[in-house]
Amino acid sequence: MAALVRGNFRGLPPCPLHSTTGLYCPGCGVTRATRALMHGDLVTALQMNMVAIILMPFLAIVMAREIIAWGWQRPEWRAGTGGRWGIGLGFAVIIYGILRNLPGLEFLRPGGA
Amino acid sequence: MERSIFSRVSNNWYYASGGAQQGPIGIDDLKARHAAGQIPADALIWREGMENWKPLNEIPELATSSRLLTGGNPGTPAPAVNPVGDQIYAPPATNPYAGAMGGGLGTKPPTYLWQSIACTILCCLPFGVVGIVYAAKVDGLAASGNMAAALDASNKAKFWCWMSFGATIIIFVLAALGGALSA
Repeated sequence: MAALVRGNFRGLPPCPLHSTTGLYCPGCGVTRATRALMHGDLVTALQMNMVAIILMPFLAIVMAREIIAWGWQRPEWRAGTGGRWGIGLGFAVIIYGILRNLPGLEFLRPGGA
Repeated sequence: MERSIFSRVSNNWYYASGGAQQGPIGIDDLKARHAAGQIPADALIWREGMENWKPLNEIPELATSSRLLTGGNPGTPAPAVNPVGDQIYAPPATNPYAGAMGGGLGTKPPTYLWQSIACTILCCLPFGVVGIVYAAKVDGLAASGNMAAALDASNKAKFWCWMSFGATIIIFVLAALGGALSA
């Protein structure tokens, strides 16, 4: 998989949502951003999907905790529910996905900035 | 007393059995287990909102069972004796994530909020959005005591997370196969 990502994307599929509907979802550009990060190009990564790059370290921590709690039956490792801030973050991600598709906000799209 | 799941009063009941705390269960479930002989009339019971654990036969909501009429004297005050110790038999934390019992008995359903957010960003499919919406409902429903609806929302958030994850894996595998065949 790493070889695929480092390569020129032969074998990695285009996003099924974007290729069928033309819409930009909250995750659009994450693959390209990841590829840019692997090449040490943080600027391009941020241009592809700023929100995902900012959230990535945070999501990596909470997902690692949830996986430990789930896989090793260690409930004390659960990441918690997040409360209002977590719910706000969830809806912020949804709103980001909506804004990316609006005219005048093209800079939020992958490579738009 | 009729108690619907939409009642503002919590329907999360806990009982002490064999040195461990059991629950949360609904009052109907509690009555059924008592009627079946699984919970004796002097078993300690606690419901969210109660000051402390009380023997089952001193709780008015549970006094409809015929077995209760013979089980003890409702006039006597609750014995201030905890069978094991204050640590275990203190009222369970309402928010399991706030106390030392996190994830243990008496927990609220998991929200799957982080999983939903991760799926929304990483899987490029609208299923993750559905997961976030359901995940956002879980805590509020659990806090209002509507545990059945909270569990339902939790399960739906979980379902859409797995849909998102599974569909993405399938797409990647198909694409990898296609790429390998055409290469």
